[in-house]
Amino acid sequence: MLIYYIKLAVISLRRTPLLSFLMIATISVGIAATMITYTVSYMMSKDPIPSKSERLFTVHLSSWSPDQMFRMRDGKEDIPMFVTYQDAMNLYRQKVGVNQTIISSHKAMARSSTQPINEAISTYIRPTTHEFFGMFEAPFLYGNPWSSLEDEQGTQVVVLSKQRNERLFDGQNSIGKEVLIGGLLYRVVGVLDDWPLIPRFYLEGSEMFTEARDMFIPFRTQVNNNWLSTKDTSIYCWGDYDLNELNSVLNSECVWLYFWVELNSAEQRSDYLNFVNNYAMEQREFGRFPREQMNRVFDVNEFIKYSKVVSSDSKIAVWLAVAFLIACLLNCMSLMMTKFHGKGSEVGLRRAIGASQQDIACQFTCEAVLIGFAGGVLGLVLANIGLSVTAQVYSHLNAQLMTMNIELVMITILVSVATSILFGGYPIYRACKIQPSSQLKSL
Amino acid sequence: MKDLKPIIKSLLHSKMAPLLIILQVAVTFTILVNSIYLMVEKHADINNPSGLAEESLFSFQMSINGEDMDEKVANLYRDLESIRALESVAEVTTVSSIPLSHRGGGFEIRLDPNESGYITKAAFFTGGHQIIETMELNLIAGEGFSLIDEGVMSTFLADRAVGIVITKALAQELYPEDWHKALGKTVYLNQSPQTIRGIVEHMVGPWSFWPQKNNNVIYPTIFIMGDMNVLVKAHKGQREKSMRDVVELLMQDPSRYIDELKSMSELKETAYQAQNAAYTTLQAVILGLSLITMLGVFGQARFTVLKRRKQIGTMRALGASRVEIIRYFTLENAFITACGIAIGVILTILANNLIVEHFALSPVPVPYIIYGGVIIFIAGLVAVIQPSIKASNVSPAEATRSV
Repeated sequence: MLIYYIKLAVISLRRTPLLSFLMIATISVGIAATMITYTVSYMMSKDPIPSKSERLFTVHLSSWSPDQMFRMRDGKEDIPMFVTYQDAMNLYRQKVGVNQTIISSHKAMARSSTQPINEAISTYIRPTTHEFFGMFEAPFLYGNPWSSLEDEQGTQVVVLSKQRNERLFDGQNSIGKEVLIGGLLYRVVGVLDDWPLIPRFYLEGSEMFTEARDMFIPFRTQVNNNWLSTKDTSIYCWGDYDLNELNSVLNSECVWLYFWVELNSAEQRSDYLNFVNNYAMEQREFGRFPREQMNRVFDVNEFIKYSKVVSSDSKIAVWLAVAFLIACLLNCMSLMMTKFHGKGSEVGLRRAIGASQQDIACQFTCEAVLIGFAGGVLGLVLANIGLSVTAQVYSHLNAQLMTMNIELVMITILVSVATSILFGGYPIYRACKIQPSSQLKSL
Repeated sequence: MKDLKPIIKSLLHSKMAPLLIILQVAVTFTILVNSIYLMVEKHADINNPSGLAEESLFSFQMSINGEDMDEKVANLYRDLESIRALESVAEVTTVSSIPLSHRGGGFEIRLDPNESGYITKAAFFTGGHQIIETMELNLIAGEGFSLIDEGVMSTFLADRAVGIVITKALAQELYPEDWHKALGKTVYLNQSPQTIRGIVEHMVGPWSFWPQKNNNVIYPTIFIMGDMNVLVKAHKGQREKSMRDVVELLMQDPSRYIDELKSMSELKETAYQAQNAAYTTLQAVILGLSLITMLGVFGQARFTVLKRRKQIGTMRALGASRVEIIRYFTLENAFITACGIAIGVILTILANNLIVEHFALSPVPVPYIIYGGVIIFIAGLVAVIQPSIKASNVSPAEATRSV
């Protein structure tokens, strides 16, 4: 029976091609607009690392000056999202979590050891510790992270991004080859695969939609080489410091390092916070941590929310698009009214030879579903075209934001079908109510 | 106007179809008005006057050599001198951050040092005494800096009492009643007191998206860091040549590196990319919406014409002219659109309250509601032309045929 209804629906759609096209087109345009904006907003705010987002934490400490607060945020005192070198090292060495890592940044000229010096390019570098790769699930194409021993000794080793490996070594397995960073030799121990982490939650908000950096080196080597790039690092200071001397920064109260910790389970969070608070109290004995203590740990999603990366622009866009979809659906609804009105005599005839109201409803629902489905498919095509255009216009954002995953594709079709049934409801109801007698008289 | 009564009666007779159009118009109106307003706001944002000589400025980062502070300073001065000596270069200075480069630092601004909160925030531009001349800022009150004011420091603090030059926007925020009053007053940058010695008309800060981007402070002290920002003003029309000249000159030193070499036009384009993208999107939304509404009105009008062939035929047979038929349908649609707009105005005001509450945006001003109404009304009129002409072509003989 269902197949028969679908057949009827197809015939009916083909009988009025212009009207059918208009209906499908309006739905698809509305669906496309909604899905384009929703995709961007969804990709911006989705959980980037579902397997451990509840047990990865970043640590923020109240180490700021007694004279004034670090800053106001939303009308309240806020503490820095970075920690000082002393605190990062102390927390790292105590190894209270399963894994912990320090994340720094640096910028230097880099080239492979076989390239001439004038081919060196300015490169953003990520000094960190070996745990980083495992904690944030960075995929390796070749090789492995460096070892904890290499971290301690400050061995000059580097992990390359896939892109940089292609540029320097034609995408070959480059383990054991050498690159020059800031004039110093670093041995390649690993090459990352594509790493589409959205948002790149371990960084501050303004960097969360950037690509991963091209080179990762042991943090110890940055310290040993006395590297500090004030043009690249976000660094906030109080007390005595000289930004020209890394040593001075290391011993100062300047905050500039991210500290992340991985715990066994989300339940250990309060234990860890206690540990951090106790640590702050110990530091007070050395005259540090003078302010009222507001130390905190944020899990991944809390930190993303704190960073306010989903701009209100993109939220407004979604609401505008939903309203746009409603306008389109209302339009489609009136087209359906037109359509079903024209089919009065057909309904009359079918009712006269024994079809019940339910049968008629079923038949027209099939038609509405078909329209919705076609609109969804066309909408999907339009949305993907729209997204590639959007990726061009918004080239400053990560292109990964403008790609639909399978979930979103399903949502698109479902929304389209569901809304067309919903908005087709009234026209269908009206069609069912047609009296057989009134229509048959004029035949 | 005597037509209006039968129109309303016939609309009330079959409510659903016109109601749908009314709703559609209302929803469209709401989105349209909000989008137009957002678009105009973005437009103002993008066209925010930078105050700079955009066409002739460029900037870059360079390394400076030297074992200690004195040596670094000496090398920096020598580099700047040799850049200034280039034929294509009009003026050069070093400055802690470049406008629109998205990198910089700032301070909280207070008039009373013991205040717990602050009045506003401002970005801090510290560098050579030629900053104002290099950027070609328009000094509208007080005085700028000269060589004797210049100093050198290695911490990001304004602790030398030489005075500062601020933007008019900042002065207005400090003294809303009269910005002239700011001149000569003492303000506190975090905790450091500074006297305001000059006010410039416009100057844009490092971050294009920052609400306080027009609040800027200039301070004549060279802040020595590992990499120095250099801002160069080329002679008119010679920027390309000047960029090449400067690179050639500096790269004579093999240990030097230069990075982020960008013209101010490039920086501006990158800085406003997000706003520009949003602007384009809003334009597309407005266009798409208008088209969909017109399509809806068009479909609805055709539908009513089809449904009422017999009625139209009767009207014609009873002596209605073609013009009267066209008038009838135009009026009917105008009425429907007007109802839609009326509901739309209410929706807009409601949506406005939500937007203000959830997104911290300012509400849509009344003129936009009027403009939006006019646009939708005209779109509706255009859409109804073809169906009403079609209706006027219905022959009076139609009335005599049975349906």
